[in-house]
Amino acid sequence: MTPGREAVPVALIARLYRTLLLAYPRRFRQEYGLHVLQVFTDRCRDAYEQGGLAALIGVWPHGVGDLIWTALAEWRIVWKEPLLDEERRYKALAGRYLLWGGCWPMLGVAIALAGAGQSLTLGHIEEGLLVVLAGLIPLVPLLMPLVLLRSGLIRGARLASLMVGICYGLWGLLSSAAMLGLDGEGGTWNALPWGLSFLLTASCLLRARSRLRGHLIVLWQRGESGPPPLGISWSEGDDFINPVWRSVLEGSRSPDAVKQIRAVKTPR
Amino acid sequence: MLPLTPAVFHILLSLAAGERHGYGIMQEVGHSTDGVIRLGPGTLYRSIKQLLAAGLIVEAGDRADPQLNEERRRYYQLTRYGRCVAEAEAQRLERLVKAARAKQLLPKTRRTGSVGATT
Repeated sequence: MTPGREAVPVALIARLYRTLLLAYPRRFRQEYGLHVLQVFTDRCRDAYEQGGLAALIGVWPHGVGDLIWTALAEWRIVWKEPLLDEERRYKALAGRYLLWGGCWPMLGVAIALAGAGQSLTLGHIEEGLLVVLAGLIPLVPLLMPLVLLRSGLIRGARLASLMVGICYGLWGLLSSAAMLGLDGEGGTWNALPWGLSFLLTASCLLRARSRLRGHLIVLWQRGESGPPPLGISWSEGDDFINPVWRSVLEGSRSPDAVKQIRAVKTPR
Repeated sequence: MLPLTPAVFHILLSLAAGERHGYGIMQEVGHSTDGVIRLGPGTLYRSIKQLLAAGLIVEAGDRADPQLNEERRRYYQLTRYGRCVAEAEAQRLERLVKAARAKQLLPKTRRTGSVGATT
């Protein structure tokens, strides 16, 4: 299937839709992604030939709505599936450093909410709302590593966990600096949870690194048949993620990793 | 197994006449329902996945559709079991329609061969 042969608007929409296919769990994407994309492209082509650009744009909301709805349904199935041993161990490991990295930001959020409550009580409504927002926003990225992990994007999950830790740490350092400049010792208490979060997440990552490598090798060996072909020519079983992004997010694609895997497979 | 979802039942109906690929199924469902039911690509292949797992349809190979382009497409066909299930669902729906007619929720049917006359 080559989008280059389509009319430009159809090819563009098909390419965008192909990116949205990332919303599906990996297994469904690998099994049916090509067919879903093919049917969507057929439909776009027909609409464009019959009604021009307006008809083509009309296909988009239904197609995207359908994708979101079915992706959610597929994810519900995936989350209900029992995990394999390696996945369970990896999830427990990832969960552990998410817990370490997460409990301290939670404490920070609690402090922020308490501060907001105090501001609101004193009648400083705008300031209070800002503190509430600042406290709640970091909760969102806490979920990201788990979602990535469940998608099979192992390195992505690890990077996301690391980034969460680093961001909290930096935020803590910056806010402590600001607070110390403004009201002296108060900033230290606000900064403490964030700084601890950074340190604990980083230390957990360092400790887990060797074990993670082992898990990555096990996961790579299980059911991976090599990197997808480069370019935009797709064949059965491709994952529909841009190959470069896929290799970055999944990890274990580097020549070094391949050597390690071969060494594991053929022990001397 | 029964009742089937509308999407699944329409997919089985579209395959009753012979094997089709995904887009062919989608077009057939659109035509047979006058566009009332529009299957999205995701819904279509989720349903196909369920039907394959339940043994109601099977894959019938990959080949190009000369009416569309040279892309290879996967064809699907109804199994014997799938046909039985579709028939059972059709009979269930028929009974429902009969019950609705008996309660005068639907107009009475036209008798075959007597155009314009109602029973």
